[in-house]
Amino acid sequence: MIRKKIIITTGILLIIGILTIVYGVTKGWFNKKSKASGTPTVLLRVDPIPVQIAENNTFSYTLKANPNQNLNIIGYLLTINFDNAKVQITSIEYKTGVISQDLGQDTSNKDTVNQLGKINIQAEISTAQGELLLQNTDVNLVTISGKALITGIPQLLIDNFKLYQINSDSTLTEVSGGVGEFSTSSSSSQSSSSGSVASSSSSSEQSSLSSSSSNASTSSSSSQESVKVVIKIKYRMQGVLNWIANQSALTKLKILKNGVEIDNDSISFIASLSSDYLWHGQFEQRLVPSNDYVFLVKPDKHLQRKVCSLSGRDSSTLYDCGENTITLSSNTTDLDLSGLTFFAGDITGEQGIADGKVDSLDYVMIQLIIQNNTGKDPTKVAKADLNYDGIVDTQDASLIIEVWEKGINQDEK
Amino acid sequence: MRGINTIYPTFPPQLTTSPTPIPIIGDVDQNNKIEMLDYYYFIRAAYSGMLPMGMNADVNKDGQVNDQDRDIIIKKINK
Repeated sequence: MIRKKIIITTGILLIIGILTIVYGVTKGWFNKKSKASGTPTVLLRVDPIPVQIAENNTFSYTLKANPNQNLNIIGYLLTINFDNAKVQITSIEYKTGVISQDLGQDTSNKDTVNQLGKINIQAEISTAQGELLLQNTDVNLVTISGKALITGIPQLLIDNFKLYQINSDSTLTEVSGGVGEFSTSSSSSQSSSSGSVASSSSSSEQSSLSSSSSNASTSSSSSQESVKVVIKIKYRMQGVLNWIANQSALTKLKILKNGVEIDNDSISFIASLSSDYLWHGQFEQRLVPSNDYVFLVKPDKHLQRKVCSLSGRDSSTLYDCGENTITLSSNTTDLDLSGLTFFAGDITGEQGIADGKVDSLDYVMIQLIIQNNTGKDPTKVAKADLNYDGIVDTQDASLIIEVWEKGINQDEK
Repeated sequence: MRGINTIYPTFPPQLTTSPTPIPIIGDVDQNNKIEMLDYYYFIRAAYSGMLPMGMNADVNKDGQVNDQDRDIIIKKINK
């Protein structure tokens, strides 16, 4: 009798087990790639991080792709735009795959590339099985070498980065890659004590400055010659509450004179974090002395603020320019923005680069890094560590929430 | 009868033949457009990789997958 009960119980358990397995298979419980499979994303970065290059000196950068899951690819493409008045390309070498003839460009096309200020990179993998890119591992795609025509940080802008993935059923999928921005302006200015300087002062740019000033009807000194102005700046980033030695941040700045931007390129300089938790930097610029200047300041990974006085401060409400403007003359000018908060979170956008907004794309990027447990990866830290504590974690995600709670979500203009 | 409107039938009955799409030369994946994916399907085929059922990288139908097919696809992409 007992034996019969045991047999029946075992049978029932077996049937339940089989039904559970069948149900699990239909629901994909045993699908190994379920966690890593989601939307594949591939970040592209440059190695090494560009620094200021002296006039006529050479540079060489390697573009490195880093996928968030294993990807078997048949090819890739991207576009690099650069200012051919400031940079000339000397070689383009493919490190993964071979050039797709008639579609991509390599060193043999450097004359065309330099003439247009644009490089079309396109490669294909010349094997039947494709090329496997491993999850969270850098792979060298292309090495770009060139020469700086004027002193500055080479400005190379990546666009339209795509990879072509081979799926298990032999179909192909186009994967749009995220692009880590690795560009800044070039310049002919000198280095400063607290960071490299990148401002524009070539002869042609000076003439455009003169043109701007002559158009400024309310300028008090529109007919004056431009003079060298040294601007020392300090500012505070939201959430940076620790001092870590040797932290630096690319900072972009636009100058408006009588409401008109005086140069199409941002001035870029490197600000360094001091023990007072403020970021210090300086730059030089040739400007016509006048009383109608406004600055747009944008630290890396943060939203831009509009500054119309040399010591603008937030109070219970955000600082507002009103009718104020900044008077600049020759000499050194201190721009003390320690009373302003620069809000964190502008790290990506639809094109994979900062887009002047703090939105769900920025938040999702941080959450993905946290989920993938890659918060200490140097690439991810450079891209998304908002509070500069060396790790991308929930504190960074919280900063974005904090910004949204204040009702702020885009650059001031 | 699910899905058929029996209350207001179409009358007189309409012929519902769908037009046969005209194949586009160079459209390897047969999705009626020529894009970079077609190029990479060609590359897969050219390097002896497998193509999914229904795809054909021999776009000029000469029995071979070669540079002539590649040229056709690239010209269409660059148009």
